[in-house]
Amino acid sequence: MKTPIEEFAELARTRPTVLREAHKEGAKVVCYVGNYAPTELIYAAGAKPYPMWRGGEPEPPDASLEETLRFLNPLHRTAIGLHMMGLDPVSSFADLVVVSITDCHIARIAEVFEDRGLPTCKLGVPSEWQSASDFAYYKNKVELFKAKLEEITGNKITDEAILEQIEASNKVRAALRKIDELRKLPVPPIDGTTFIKLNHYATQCEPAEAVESLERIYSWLLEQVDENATSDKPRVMLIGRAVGIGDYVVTTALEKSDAVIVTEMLDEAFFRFQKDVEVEGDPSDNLCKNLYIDSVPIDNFQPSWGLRYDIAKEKMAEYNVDGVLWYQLLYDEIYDMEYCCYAKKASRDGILFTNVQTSYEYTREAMGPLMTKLETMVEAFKGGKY
Amino acid sequence: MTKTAHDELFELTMLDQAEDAVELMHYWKLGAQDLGLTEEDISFAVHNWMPRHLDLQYKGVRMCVGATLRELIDIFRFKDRKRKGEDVKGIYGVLPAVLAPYQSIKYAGGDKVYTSFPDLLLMFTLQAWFHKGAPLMEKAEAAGFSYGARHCALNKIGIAGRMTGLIPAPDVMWSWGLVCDEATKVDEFLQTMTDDKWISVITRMPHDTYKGDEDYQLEDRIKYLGSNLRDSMAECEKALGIKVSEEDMRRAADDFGRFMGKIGQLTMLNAAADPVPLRNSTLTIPFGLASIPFNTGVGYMEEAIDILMEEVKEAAAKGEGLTRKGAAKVGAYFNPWATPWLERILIENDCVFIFSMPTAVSKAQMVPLKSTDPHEQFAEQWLQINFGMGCGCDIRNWVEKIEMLKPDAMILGFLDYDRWLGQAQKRNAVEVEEITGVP
Amino acid sequence: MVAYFAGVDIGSTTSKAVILNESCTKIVGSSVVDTMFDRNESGEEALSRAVEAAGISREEVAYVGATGYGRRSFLAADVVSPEVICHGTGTEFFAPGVRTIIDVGGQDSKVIECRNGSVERFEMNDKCAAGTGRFFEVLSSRLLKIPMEELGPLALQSTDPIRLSSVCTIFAESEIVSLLSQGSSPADICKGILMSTEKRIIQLARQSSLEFYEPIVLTGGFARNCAAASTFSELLGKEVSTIDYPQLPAAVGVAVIAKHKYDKDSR
Repeated sequence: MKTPIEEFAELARTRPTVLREAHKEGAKVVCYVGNYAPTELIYAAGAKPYPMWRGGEPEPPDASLEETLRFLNPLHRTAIGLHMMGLDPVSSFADLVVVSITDCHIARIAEVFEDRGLPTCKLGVPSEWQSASDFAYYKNKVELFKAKLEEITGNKITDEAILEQIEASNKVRAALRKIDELRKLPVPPIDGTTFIKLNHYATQCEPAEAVESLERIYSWLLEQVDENATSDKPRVMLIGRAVGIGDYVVTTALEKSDAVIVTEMLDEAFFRFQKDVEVEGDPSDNLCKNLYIDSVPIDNFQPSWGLRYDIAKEKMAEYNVDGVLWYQLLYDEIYDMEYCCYAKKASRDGILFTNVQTSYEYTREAMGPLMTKLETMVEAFKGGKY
Repeated sequence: MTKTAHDELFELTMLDQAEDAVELMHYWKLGAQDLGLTEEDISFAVHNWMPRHLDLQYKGVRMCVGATLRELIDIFRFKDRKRKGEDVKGIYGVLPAVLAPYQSIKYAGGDKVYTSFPDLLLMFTLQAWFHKGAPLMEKAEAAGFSYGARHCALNKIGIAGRMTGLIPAPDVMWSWGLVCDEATKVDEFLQTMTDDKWISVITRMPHDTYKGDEDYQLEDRIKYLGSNLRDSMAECEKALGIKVSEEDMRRAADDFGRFMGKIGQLTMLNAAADPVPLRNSTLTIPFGLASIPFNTGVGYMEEAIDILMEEVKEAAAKGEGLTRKGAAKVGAYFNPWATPWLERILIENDCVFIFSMPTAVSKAQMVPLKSTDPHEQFAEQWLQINFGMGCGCDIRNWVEKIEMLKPDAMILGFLDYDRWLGQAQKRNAVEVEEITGVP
Repeated sequence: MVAYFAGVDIGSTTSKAVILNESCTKIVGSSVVDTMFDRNESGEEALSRAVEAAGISREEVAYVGATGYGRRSFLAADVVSPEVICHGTGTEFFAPGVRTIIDVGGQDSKVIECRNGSVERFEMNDKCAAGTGRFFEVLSSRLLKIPMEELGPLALQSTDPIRLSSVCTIFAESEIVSLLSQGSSPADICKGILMSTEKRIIQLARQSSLEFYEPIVLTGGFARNCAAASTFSELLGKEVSTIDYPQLPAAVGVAVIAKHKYDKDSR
């Protein structure tokens, strides 16, 4: 018999087929890259969203080299590579691809989409997130995206429709938060890789379906909680730009090395569930505020590193974390710089940490050093000696 | 008395004839010590490196070098003033920046304000002329900044300069992210890695225009950047304790337009000559005026440019140049400024760089400004440069410059590791080749 | 019956094995062999030779520990442990009180901060070859056409080491060819490459804010180069020493770990 998690995974797997069928029947499909296009607006327009967040395989970034530089990070090269290889299950029939332009990597990828004839909406996300004019800029871009959605669907997006979708997505957030709370237990009933997968699955089905699945999963997990259980597995926090959909090699390897990821701070390819979107006031404004101001500022926002470090420290205390794994995408230069600053502060504060850099190539030769690093990290978190 | 290498450098660059030559020499020697330049290093530069890579037979070139060295020396004068606790505040920036605001700040602040981009100055001088940038970059790496091509060499020099105390901490750091992400984040990096304190001002803009857009024609883009500049300047004024008048701003904008015009004219004169008189490494020096806010004023460099233009005309008339007549002329997207040996390889193979995109003026820059608000004028002026924008805009810019300057070929790929500029070179090449027929 | 403990370190380039006496205080046999495609076979080969060198029979080995990239492929292992942990334990065996281990192998390099043999923090190279023994080997031995064992003495003769402006193996190679044609001396080139390799390793550790606490010990095949430790000393401004068997600490470490496992299982 399948577990509720397996059932949820299966539901997520069928999403492209569901979207293809819906598209044939006239529904509009909107792919999104990045995290700043509110999916609530897509639903409110009567369209269907699909995240282009895949990662973890070496072929798509390689395929993208016809159009990109190898110095762009592998996550975004995967998005374009899959499309170029004809392996993205949805982009070929998408009515719109909305790309949140948060940095140069993603901005250049948006240009490739545009050049390859995909209907592309560039949603500029300015970095100075604390400035009123930058919020206004972002909000204006969201309004333009909204207008574009109205244009492709022929549907007027009303405030009532947005509010309805906000309430639906808040239910998904609440369901994820409930499961996330279980990760604070001494022996969490769910590992980090599975939790990240649940987060990904939640973006690959209708909100109501996600809520139903997550609620079942929560009940099932609760049954497995042994409140008296203890564990000497190191509790790890994962920090990085993204764990792409399918990019579970490193997190799985870490957890197989006898550690458990109990919390994470990921900027992309992750549905932000920590804070609900407010329901009072202008719904569009609330969506923008939730994503742009109320969420953890991403690494490329400015200023952000100091605050991000403080937030990470708070989470470490809240989830009783033993050490941090910094998950770095190859050539993601700003994260590389932030890591250096993080390392300085963490050393000062006595926080154990290590970093792993990925190009999505997990060959035998690459796995050797990777496993050594992860296993050593686990051992070091345990005390550094046999 | 025998001449020292310092004296020879001043002679070569005509700084020995300056009214303040003695003071300049004093600060130069202090600076050379900080920079780790020995007499031997300077002698190597004067007798070997600079003559090999710059067209020093032209007085205008020697004066351009002198004007830039004067700026380098001024870093150490500023450092000394700070050390003595004098009433002076420093504002730095990073390339590429909207330059006129700095110039207007300088006009408003006079001697109480020091404006500079020290990292760029170090790259222009220490690396390009003394071939001594690598040891400094390694200091950034030894401090933990990743090695190799992952990060910008300019930022690496800036970080090392600051972390080693070679460059004094500014009072205000106005960082720019109009092209790349890294430059502005260097400020945040330094705030963590050093104990110095300064006010950070940030100006960035997302790359979210579409193919077919001309950035300088997009009103919302001008207004956004203009408003950002207004806010940023207000922060700078507050931190520096000055008030910039509209007159200061207009004067700076006029200056900037004038320099860019002259640089463009010089590039065109040079490119049209056969053989070509000036190397791109040489042309880059006057371009410094369009890349760095000169604290010592614009007069020295402008005078040098005027003289150089006359000398180029004369050389062209006489048929004097770097290669034989009829040698191939090539353009570059961005000829690296601090690696002159690359250009030398071309020349030795009877081929010459006639321009790189930033040194050639775009047609858009000739269009009168629409904006009336001075901050929006600054913004519009920047967007008219048309370099480092979205691919669509860049392609038109390339085509326009190629058609104007008529190179036989384009060499692309420098700055390949730059997530923004590198990608443009890769993506635009095919389309530009198809449109222009230039390989 | 006297029991012995074996440690096998199956690395990317070589496989090492040691046999320790019952109290794990003395190495009674060791071996170093090239790693073959079949990592289990490489481990077996190294272990057989070490057993032979110790003058004992395989049956006298109570427990075998395996480490190195091939550790999980080694079927005879009673215990496996990542090599960084084993390095901590093993280097403490050779140099009690060590605080920083710089281990430079054929394809990787590690800087390990430890206390009483326990690893506290560490950093390893990523995929880039710069900062590994291979980088040094490719650029010096192959380009200068001088055997590896002669490179150390040659580097010690340098008076004006060259400075490599490029860190990519491929570009550095062309830069060195150019320096050779310009008449730079092989000694200066060799020392320059050595410095370039070591600077990369230092940077790697600095990025993670490792402090290079003293005493510092250099291990790995790279440490056999007699100029390697002194060059690290110059660059760090701190004393860096080596040990008698720089390739063996991980194998020794995992042998000690095997003994602990044996003791635990026997209780």
